[in-house]
Amino acid sequence: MYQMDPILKQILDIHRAQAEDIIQRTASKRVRDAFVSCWNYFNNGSISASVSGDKIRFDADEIIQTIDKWIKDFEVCKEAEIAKLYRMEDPSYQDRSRVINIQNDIDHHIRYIYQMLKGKITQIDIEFSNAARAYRSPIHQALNDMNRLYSEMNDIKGPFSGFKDVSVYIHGIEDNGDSFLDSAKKAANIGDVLIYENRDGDISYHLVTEEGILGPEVIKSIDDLKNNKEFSKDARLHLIYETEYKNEHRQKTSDDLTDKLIEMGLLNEETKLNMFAHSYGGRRSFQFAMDYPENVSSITTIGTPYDENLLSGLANTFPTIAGFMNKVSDEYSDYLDFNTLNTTTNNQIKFSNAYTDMTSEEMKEDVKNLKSANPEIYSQLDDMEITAVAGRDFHERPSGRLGTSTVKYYDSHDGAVSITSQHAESLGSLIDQRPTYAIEGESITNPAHSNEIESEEFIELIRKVNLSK
Amino acid sequence: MKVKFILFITSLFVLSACTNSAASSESYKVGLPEEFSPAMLEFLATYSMPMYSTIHKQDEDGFTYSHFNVENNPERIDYFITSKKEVANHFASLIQSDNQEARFNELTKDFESVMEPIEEYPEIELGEDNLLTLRSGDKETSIELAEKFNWNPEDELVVSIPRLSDKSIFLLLKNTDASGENRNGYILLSKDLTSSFVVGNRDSFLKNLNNGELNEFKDLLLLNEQYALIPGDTHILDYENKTTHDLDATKNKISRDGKYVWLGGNKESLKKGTHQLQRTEDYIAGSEDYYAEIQLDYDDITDELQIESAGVDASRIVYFNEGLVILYLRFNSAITGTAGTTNVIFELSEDQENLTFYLADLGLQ
Repeated sequence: MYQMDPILKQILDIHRAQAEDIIQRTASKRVRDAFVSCWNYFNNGSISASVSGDKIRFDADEIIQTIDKWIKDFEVCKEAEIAKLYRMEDPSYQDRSRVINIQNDIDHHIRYIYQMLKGKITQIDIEFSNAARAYRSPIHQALNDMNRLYSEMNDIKGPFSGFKDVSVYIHGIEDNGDSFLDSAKKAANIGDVLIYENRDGDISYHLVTEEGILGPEVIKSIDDLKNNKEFSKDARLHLIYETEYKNEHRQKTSDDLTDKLIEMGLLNEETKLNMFAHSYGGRRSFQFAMDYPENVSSITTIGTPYDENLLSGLANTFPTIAGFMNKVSDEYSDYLDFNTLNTTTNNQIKFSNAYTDMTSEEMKEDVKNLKSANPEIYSQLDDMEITAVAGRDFHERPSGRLGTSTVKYYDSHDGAVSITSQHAESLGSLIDQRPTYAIEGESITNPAHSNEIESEEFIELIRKVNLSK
Repeated sequence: MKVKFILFITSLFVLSACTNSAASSESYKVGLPEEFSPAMLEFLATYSMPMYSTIHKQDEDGFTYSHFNVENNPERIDYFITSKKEVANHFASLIQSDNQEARFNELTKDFESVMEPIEEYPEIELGEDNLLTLRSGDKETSIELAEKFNWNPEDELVVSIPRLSDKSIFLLLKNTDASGENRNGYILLSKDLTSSFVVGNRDSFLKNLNNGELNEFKDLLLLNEQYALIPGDTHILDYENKTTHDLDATKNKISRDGKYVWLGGNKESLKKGTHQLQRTEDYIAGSEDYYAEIQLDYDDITDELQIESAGVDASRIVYFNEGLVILYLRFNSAITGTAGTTNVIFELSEDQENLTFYLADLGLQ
């Protein structure tokens, strides 16, 4: 039976001791299994470390660095043995074949096994990350609740504590807050403050004055805003919220928005939130309202797919084709849903995003679950003023014998979402109003759905809701 | 080839449609100009100034700022100076920056580092009960603003100097607790405080101009021999004909200096096609003389930026002054979402034949 050179055995023994130390430190059975299965290939003793302890301490980078160091140990050994051979005046056949065997063992056996071990550690890392991602949101929510409670008990104020009327605007997929900023400005009243933080972290402040709206050219910081003589907390604050990932899942938006509102001092009993949302932003705002119903006084959505959506289903199934339309349906979103149908996998990383959500879940499912799990919250949701606006395309055709007049023909959708889905018919009496607006659009590339935020009727609706304190 | 053909057709159209202005041809460059022109430096110096500041072109070399410092007690006007060279140096790193929007934001917020305080102008302080105190050398005078303008002594006031000349100062007093005509008050005064004049509203200005009471301060008001403009107003005072002209600012965009009118420039969205700009006096006269005609071709801009766009969602003027225009464009993505944004920056001069549009996103909306 072929025996490994003693010098290689010696190095392997040192590595085995270190491996046992790693196993004990991580206290992970998965890590132990990876080391044991790899060590069996060496035919040089076995790993004997046992796994104990309540906490797993797993650092993939650190373990991989150690394995890389082991590979380097063997490289150094190989080079030293070759150099020793060259220094011999007249090396024998046994001397030469010994070094050749060492070289072969290192290059074709040991290195291969160590690479395989690194692959297994990476795989474990991915599995741990996927599992951790699923629990991140509940932990985030728990931390948010603790943070809010702590702030309340210790009377910790945020920079905008004191504003009683706050409007929050949430955009849909593939979008940012720019369009909502324009519409919120148009709907705002004199004295109102608008804050827009984009996903790059840039914040712009706007103050509505009698002469017009002062923007970042005048108000460059929160101090400027507060030092402005027209700043008053009696006015309404408009928060144009931009999601961290443009296609992130509604639960992640709700968790992050909660963070933001606590930080600003706006999640408390005195502050009432009016939520405005477009497209998937409607689901995001609905999620927030389900998480914090006592803080939300109204939800107003337009173009929101409350039911499963055909287009996003297609984009989710065929991400490459969606990519041709500049849609990133497989965009990583740092959230994993417990519903396995509401997930996607990219490079072995599991996550959920807006596309998986619209493909797999109707809002009525979550509302139904909420109703049975927590009737109190459902009742608060029922008391909330919820308006689900449907936008719809139309086209004009000549009419009359001479074709001198025109008639408008309306579609049953806005180019992306059906009227039934936008109206959230499936949510029944939970929705208080279901208006329908005719919105201009052009074909599938620039349908009504794209122009809903800027529609005059919707802006007028925002204005009305903002005025009703 | 296609672009050349469109440019050729565009040129023909402009030649045939415009009788009183030279045709221009457009070219596009992605990024900022390789060096800043005087008009661009003025924009940078204007956009970056602190809140409650006004900028005054000092001479060929630089700018003077007057800044109403609300953090002091009593609140006062501070004066600063900066040179064009300092502005250019401060913003030099913007031109080659990989993220021009973020860099622009950083540099504008840090602009006060190149503003040097100066003390050659009168001390102006707003004290308790809205008592305005002015000092120059040994001379000191006080004005009870509440009494002069029929305001409350506790009203929140903002004092600014929208115009400054070698001899005189135009003080604008804004009452943020008032509304309409009663919101603004004006004081014209000589730098040495030997004379001052208090004016309440636009009609008084016209009357005072006509009867010669403001002759000493004409350099602060006049656009030309016939017309005057109150800072921030959109009505021209025609003191020759003793009347006022509305520039219809709900529809038209008036340049910062009041000298030019972009016809239809304040509409909801700037349409693709030809846009006409007039001198203010030509606009008032109802003339068809155009200072410049601009061709906005969004398809060309989309192609230059290599944006997969389903159309322009928003387009508006964000800066318009003598010599420089900056537009904001936002592009829709197909079905839903945003495809991107850009600012379009171009130099403006009369009868400009070759117009270059610089396409750079500075985040100006």
